[in-house]
Amino acid sequence: MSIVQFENVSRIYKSGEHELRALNGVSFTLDEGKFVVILGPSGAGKSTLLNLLGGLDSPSEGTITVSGMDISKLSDNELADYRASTVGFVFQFYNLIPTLTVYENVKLVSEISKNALDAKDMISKVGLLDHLSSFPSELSGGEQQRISIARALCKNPKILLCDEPTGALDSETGVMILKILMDMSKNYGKTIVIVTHNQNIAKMADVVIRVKNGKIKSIDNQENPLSADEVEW
Amino acid sequence: MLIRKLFRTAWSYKAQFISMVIMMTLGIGVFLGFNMEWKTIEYDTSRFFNDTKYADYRLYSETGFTKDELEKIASIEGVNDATRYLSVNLDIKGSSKKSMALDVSENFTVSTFTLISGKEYDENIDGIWLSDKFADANNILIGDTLTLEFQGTEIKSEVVGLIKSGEHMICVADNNQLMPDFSSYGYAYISPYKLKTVLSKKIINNIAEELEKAGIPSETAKKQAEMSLTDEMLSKATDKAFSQINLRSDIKKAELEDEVSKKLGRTLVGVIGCMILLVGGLEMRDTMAGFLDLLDNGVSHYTTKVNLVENTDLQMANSIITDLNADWESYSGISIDGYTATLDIVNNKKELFSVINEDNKPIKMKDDGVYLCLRLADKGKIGEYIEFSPYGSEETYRVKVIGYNRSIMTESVTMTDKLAEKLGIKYSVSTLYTKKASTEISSSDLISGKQDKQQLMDSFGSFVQIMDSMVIILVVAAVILGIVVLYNLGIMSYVERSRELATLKVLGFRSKKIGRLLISQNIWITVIGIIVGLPAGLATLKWLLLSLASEYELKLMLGVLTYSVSILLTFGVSLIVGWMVARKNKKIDMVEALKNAE
Ligand SMILES: Nc1ncnc2c1ncn2[C@@H]1O[C@H](COP(=O)(O)OP(=O)(O)OP(=O)(O)O)[C@@H](O)[C@H]1O
Ligand SMILES: [Mg+2]
Repeated sequence: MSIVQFENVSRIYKSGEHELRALNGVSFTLDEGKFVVILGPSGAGKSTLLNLLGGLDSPSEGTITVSGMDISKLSDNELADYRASTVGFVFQFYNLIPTLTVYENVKLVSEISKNALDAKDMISKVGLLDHLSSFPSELSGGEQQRISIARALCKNPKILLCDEPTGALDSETGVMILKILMDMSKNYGKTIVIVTHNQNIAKMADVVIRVKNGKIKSIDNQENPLSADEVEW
Repeated sequence: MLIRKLFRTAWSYKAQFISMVIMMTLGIGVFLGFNMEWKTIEYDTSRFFNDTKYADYRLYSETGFTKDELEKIASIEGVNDATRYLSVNLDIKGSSKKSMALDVSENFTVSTFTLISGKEYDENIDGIWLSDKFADANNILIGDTLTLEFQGTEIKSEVVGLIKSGEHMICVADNNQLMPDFSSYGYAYISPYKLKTVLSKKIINNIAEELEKAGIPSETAKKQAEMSLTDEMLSKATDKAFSQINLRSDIKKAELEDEVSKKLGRTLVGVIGCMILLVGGLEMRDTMAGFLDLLDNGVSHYTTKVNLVENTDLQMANSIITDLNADWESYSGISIDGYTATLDIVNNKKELFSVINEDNKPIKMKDDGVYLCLRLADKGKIGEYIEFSPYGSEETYRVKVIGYNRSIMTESVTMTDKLAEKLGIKYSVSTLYTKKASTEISSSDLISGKQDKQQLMDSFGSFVQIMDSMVIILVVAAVILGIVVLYNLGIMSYVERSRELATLKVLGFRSKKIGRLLISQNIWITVIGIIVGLPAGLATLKWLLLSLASEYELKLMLGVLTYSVSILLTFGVSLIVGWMVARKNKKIDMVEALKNAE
């Protein structure tokens, strides 16, 4: 069953006379529970695509449907509610609130999400129960990224969007993060969308979308994706 | 959760926080009239004092000073200039509400004036040099004739010049008037020559009066009196009139006192140093208003204050006291172990004026000891004994301290007349307080001046009004300043935090919720700012009051209005700024804010 549907979606940046199509008439669908990797060179439009899907931005043309809801024409408040309930975001730079502890950073989302999960459970899932009352600055980059995943998952979203989640990490830590994400997809049925430059990560994916110059170059379904441990960095 | 974040982040808003404290301080400070002009005023006044040869010391003697004594004092090493000096309060004939100080600087080397317009000073002309402000306020022009009255003797003269004098920089009728009010009280100088003619006239009048009493017809009495005036009589009267020697000198007070008593072989009523008082505009508004109220309701219930001429003892004053149904007070100089203070002997059985305690409540005075004013509190604890010696007397008195009082003007030791009687202190009555209006009080040789309390209050009132409008201007300035500073700080920290705010938005917080967070954060900072800022502001003011106006024993009185206005003001400004920042937050572009690495 398809959870995400892009129909002829464009995102146009205008600067005076000049017009730049970061995304140019993109159409595709994604099925629920898939582990999706978006590949493409720098400036291809990967982040633009992910941001539109995540409701951080709205398309200039076309429609985006998520779980049967058209999100392309929502108001600011409706978009905020969509972000709170349906999608979780993980960034290359973890974006934790520096003045809140690990526990508080995760617990924070229960203020906005109706079906939030238990914060401690989430932290335990990423293996950081020992650090509940640490502040982000006291954690390593990988640990911070795990917390930011726990925070995103705590909202119990259907879709988890990750923009270069391992971009700032070494290979070992990167594998650990990927394992967690894979687990979320396989055992909890989350739809995971990862944007990356890294060809190797694509080997783990159920679906690989290649983007170039704002257009989709190819969509490949992989029958036998590798596990995180098998990925060579 | 977010509230927790808010408290943890409080420290990172220290700049905002500090500015809040400063604003509070400023807010209160402004309200009390503290302003930056002080420095320039100080500079200008000190130059002015120098130009008009403001005296460093004033020697007082009830019996006056002779030419010979002046020379002795002038010869003291370290004394640069010295002159015999006279300053008396006179009524202006034809207007009961106006009076002025009339000064004579005999050799015009100390306590002089600067000419604003008219004739230069000349010691041999019969003219009057009048305060320009008084002339202005009363529409008096050069060439007009002024008629003054001093203890029944008329002094009539043409105004020849308009002047300013350092000696009367703070031109007040008496100790109880804080602010100059030039419409009702001014000052003027006459030459020694003019003084001589006035004194001659007074002597002749006195002799003529005596002769008339003896039955000689007034025409003849007058002629005879004129004939009998001698140079010796005149010079004696002149010596007595010059009850002051003003001098310019850098030597220390104690040293000077020592030298003077050595040279003259007698003690003086007092040696008083340079007294720079509060300069207009620096008063603290609320304190003033409270002071006013205190003066009006706390200390004084009289209608008119009557000053008696020097050396009026109780016996002489008795008939007037009974006549006016008056309370009275006696002021004289005393030395407590070399420290100069005022002995205040009080008879206030009719409660027309009160001696007040620290809380501004009237003291029911007892007869078994003295009350020290708060500034003299270190001279003795309650129950201890102090010793003092009146100036011009060899006697020493030992008395028990039984309480402390708030003295508005002088550093004083206060006792009842009963106690003074018991101790055998010789004193003269200085001031009477009566319910009678000044117009109902018939003139007398013993009365040197009258003062309407209402008039005094009015002069305060107009001053308070000026302060009010000044305060409004300053408040507006403070608010604008506050908004600019806080807004800039808010924006600055906003840019720093835009990543954080964007993160909250990405997580799904609505802009409104984040806006509320920002505003409530501002409110909390403000609350803390007020809690810290208020005492800090008060402490600053107290310090200012102490260092600028230590002569006055003013209690820092803050009206509820001042508190609430400055709190509301600070709150208002911080709310406005919070709202402005929150509005900006709405427009934040999440994608942009999160694009860059930190
Ligand atoms: N705010 C903007 N204004 C104008 N052009 C933009 C803006 N944001 C992105 N673009 C342009 O859109 C195109 C796609 O950008 P996007 O960020 O999606 O690339 P990307 O594939 O994520 O690249 P990278 O791998 O380097 O992150 C780029 O050419 C970029 O210059
Ligand atoms: Mg990108």
